[in-house]
Amino acid sequence: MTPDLRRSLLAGYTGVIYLTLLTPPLYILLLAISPNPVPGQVAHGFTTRWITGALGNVGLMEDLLVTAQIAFATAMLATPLGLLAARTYTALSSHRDTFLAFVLLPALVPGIVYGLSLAVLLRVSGLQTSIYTIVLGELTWTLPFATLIILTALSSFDTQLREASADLGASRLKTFRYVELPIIFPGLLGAFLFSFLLAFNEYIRAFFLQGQHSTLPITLFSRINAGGIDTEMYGLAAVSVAITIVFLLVLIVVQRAAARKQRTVQ
Amino acid sequence: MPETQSSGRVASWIDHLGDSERFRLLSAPIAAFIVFLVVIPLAFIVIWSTWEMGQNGLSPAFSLDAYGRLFDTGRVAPLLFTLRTAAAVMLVDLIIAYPVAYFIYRHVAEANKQIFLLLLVIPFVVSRVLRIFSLVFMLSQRGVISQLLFFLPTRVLLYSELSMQIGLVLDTLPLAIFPIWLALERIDPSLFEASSDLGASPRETFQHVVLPLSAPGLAAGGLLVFVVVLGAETIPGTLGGPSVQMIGNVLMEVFSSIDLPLAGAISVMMLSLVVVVLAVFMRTFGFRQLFEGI
Repeated sequence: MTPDLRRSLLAGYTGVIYLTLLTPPLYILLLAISPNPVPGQVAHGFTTRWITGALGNVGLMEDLLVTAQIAFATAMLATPLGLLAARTYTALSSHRDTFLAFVLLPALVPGIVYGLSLAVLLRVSGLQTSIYTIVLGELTWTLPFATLIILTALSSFDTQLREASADLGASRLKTFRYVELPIIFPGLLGAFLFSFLLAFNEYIRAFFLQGQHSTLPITLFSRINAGGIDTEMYGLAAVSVAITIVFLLVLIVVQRAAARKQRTVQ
Repeated sequence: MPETQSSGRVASWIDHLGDSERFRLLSAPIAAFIVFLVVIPLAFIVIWSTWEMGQNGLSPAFSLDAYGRLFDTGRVAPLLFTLRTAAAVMLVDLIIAYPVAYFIYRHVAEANKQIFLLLLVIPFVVSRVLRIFSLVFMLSQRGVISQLLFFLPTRVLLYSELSMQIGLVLDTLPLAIFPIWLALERIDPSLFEASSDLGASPRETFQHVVLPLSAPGLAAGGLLVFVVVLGAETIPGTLGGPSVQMIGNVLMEVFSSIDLPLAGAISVMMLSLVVVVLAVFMRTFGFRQLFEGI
C-alpha cells in the first residue's frame, strides 16, 4: 500500500465515522424545518411553523430560561473552581494522580448513581430540591471537564513568565491578572462554554435533583415518553440543538483566534 | 490600570503568605468540593443502603436485608449482562476510534485539528435525549438505515440488543477518540523517520513504536467508555426495548418503587465496580502519562 492510498483510505474512513456521529443531532434540525415530518424519511420542503410554535409556548420557554440559568450558574462556578483545581494539580509535588482521580471521580460515577446519592443526602438532611440543588449536581458533572480543559491550557503557559514578572516587582495578583490570565483566557472560556453546554443538556442528574422546575431535557424526555414526539417537540429540539451549535461555533472562532495569536507571538 | 487600595492590600497580603499557606488557600475550595460533593454523598450510600424503609421514608437502622434481596430477586443477571455489554462496546469503540484518532494526529494540519476535535463535541453535548430519538427514527422500520439494509431478512432493527449496542457505541465513541488522540499527540513525529531509517516497514513502526506509546490513551478511552456504559439507563430503556435489562434500568425501576435500600445496594455495587476499574487503570497507567510536563 502506498502512503497516499493509506492516507486516502484513512480520510474516507474518518469521514464516514464523522458522518455517522453527526447525523443524529443534525437530523432533528432537518425534521424541524420539514412541513410534513415523517420520522425516518427524507424531508421535502421548508417551514418554520414548528420552531415558531415552540418559541410561542410560554411553558416551554420558561423551561428553556430555567435551563439556561442553571447552565450559566454552573459554568460560572465550574470555571474558577476548575482553575483552582488545575493550579492545585500543578502545585502538587506528589500524589498528583490521586488528586486528579478525586476531581475526575464525579464524571466517572454513573449519573444515575450520583444523582440518587445527592438526592437522598439532601432528603435525609431535610433540604428541599430546587434549581440550586440541580446546579450542585451539574457542577460535579462539569467540573472534571472544566479542570481538564484548563489543565491543557496551563500546559501552554511558560511558568518562567511568572518568575520573570516577580523579578520585575509585580505582585502575585498582578502577575496573574496581567501575565497569566491573558495567556490562559481561551482555555478558561473553553471551560466555561463547555460546562454550560454539558449542564444545559444533562438529563439524569437534573431528573433526581429537580424541584418544582423542570429543565428542557426533562420536559423533552417526559413528553416524548408520554405521547410520542409531536411537531412542537421537533421545534424545541431544533432550538436546543441550534443553541448548542452556536456556542460551539463561538468556541471554534475563539480557539482559532487564540492559536493564530500564539503563532504570531512565536 | 490604577490598583484600588483594597486590591493592593489583598495583593500584598497574598505576597506575604508562606508557600504552604498559599497552597492551602489555593486548594481549600477544591478540597471542600471533593469532601462535601464527592466523598460524603457517595460514601453515605453505603450507610443508607443498610437503613430501613418506613412510612416516612428512610429511617436509620442496620440491616443487610437489601444486599440479600439483590440475589433473591434476580438483580445479578442484569449486572453480568451490563458488564458483558460494557466490555463489548468498549472493544468495538476502541477499534473504530483508533484509526480516526490516528488520522487526526498524522494527516490533519495543525491549524485544523481543533475543528476536527470540536466537531466531535457536537454529538457529545447535544442532549442524549434528542440523539436517541433521532436514532429511533433512523432505525425504525421505515427509517433510512432499515431501508439501506433492505436485503436483510428482518428489517426491524429497533428495540433489540443490537440497536441498544449501536446506540451505546455512537454515544461513547467521542469518549474513546479523545484520549487516544491525546496520547498519540505526545509521540514525537521524528520517531517515524528514525524507525524507517532503521529499516522498519510502516507496519513494524506502527506495531513496535506507535501502538505501545499510545497504550495509555487506549486505556483511558476504554475506562471512560466502560464506566459510561456501566451506568447507561436512557439508551437501553429507549433503544433496547422491554426485554433488554441493564443494571441502570433496574436501578431506575427499584427507585420508582421507592425501595431505597435496594437502590442503595445496587448503587454500591455499581460504585465499587467504577472504583475497581479506576484503581486498575491508575495502577497500570495513571492520568499522569496523558498530562506529562504540565
